[in-house]
Amino acid sequence: MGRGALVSLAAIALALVAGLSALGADLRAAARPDHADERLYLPDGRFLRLASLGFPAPAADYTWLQAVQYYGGYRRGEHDLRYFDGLVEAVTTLDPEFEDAYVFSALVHCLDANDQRGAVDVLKRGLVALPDSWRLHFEIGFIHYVFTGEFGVASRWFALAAEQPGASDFCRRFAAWSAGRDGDLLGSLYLWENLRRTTENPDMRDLAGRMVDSLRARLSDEPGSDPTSTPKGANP
Amino acid sequence: MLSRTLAVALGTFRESVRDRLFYLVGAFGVVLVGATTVLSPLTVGAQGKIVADVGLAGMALLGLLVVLLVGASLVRKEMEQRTITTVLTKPVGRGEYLLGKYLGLSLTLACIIGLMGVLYVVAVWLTPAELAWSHLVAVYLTWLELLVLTAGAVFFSFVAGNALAAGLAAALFVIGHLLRSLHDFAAMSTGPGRALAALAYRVLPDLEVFNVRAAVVHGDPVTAGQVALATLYGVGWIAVFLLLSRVVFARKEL
Repeated sequence: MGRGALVSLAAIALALVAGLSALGADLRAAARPDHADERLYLPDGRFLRLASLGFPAPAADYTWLQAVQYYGGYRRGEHDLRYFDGLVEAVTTLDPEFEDAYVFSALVHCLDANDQRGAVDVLKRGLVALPDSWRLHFEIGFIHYVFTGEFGVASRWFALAAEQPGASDFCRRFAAWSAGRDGDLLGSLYLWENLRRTTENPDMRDLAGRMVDSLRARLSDEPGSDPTSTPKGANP
Repeated sequence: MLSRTLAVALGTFRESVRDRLFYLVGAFGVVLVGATTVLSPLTVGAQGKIVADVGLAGMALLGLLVVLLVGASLVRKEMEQRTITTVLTKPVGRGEYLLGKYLGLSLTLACIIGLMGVLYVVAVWLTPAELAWSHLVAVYLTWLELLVLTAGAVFFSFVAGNALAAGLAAALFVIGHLLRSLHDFAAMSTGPGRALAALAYRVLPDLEVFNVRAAVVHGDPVTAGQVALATLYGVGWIAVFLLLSRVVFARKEL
């Protein structure tokens, strides 16, 4: 085959690629209005787990990226979030220890669906798979603290988070702070004292010390209070 | 005997180098870089997990590609091209030849998986994910799984053509990962389906034994006992497939 013929064939192939690319774009654009409904056909997570043939974690990652894209579509006003829960459920069935999926889903429940109960349910489902996760405990406390204003409940969840492996000092700080906001000054004092005694962070120790002094002063002003008694929120 | 087996093994290894199988390591690098840079902005906090998942899965899948493309035609190709006779006319027994070919491909897989492992460690180290020794255990068990599949592919290559042998090896991979579900299916069903599923559960290797990929990414413990038992299980299945191959090979007319 001559050089000219080869160049012609290559040019034809390039022209075909360009044509097919344009056709593909048209097809994608035509499919766009129903794009969100694709999620309606998402198979059950248990089936996806079988179909993943020993690779459930990468399948969960792929589904997770789909869920994030789907949420992005919602933020751009393309649809409501009706299939988001299905996507997250598929992700967490494929990979029950996918902590970020629970946390993100809970935040979407709170911020976009105004469904705090649903958010807590998602996080509690995560706790079934990850009972030692300080982060999931903390997020439940956070939702009670920020969204529902149940400071006593929040304090108990923060205190539980602080007991989990790898928990940061700020869990205890949040627990103490929430107990104080709940009006449980003794409980708050107990938690701040505990933090001051055990933290390795000097700034945290300093902050805890100042909070202890402040709470002691407030308690001594209150008639009938005993700063040395066992507080109600001490052992949630 | 050992020197002759090693000579065949080294020959097989050199052949795989000439066949540019190591280009797959480059493909793996591209996959990892893609997972790290392209997917990172989309992961919403799960970057480390996704890079680790993609890395370990990529390693297993590219290794599977080697098994299907090379393992399934390892001996048959030489039988069809008659090059096997030049080796077997020398004082090399069929068993030594078979074992040498298998060890050569195992060495190739070890090098490929080892190089991918180095890239994987670097990629995970660059992410917020925690890199633990157990990640290397997952790499080792992936290699072991590929060795079992290679032995299965070699056996299939004696009883079927190249394409069918590759298909059977792929089927072994699929069924090997679904074996526990097959067991559940057997428990729920009745009639011949139950017996067939129960039989498959008993006579096929359970490849999930080698799958600790998700566990190590989440930091779940993988005990030394678990690894030792998986090694024993893997070596046992390799021996089964190679012995069966030896039996069929002995009856083959070259």
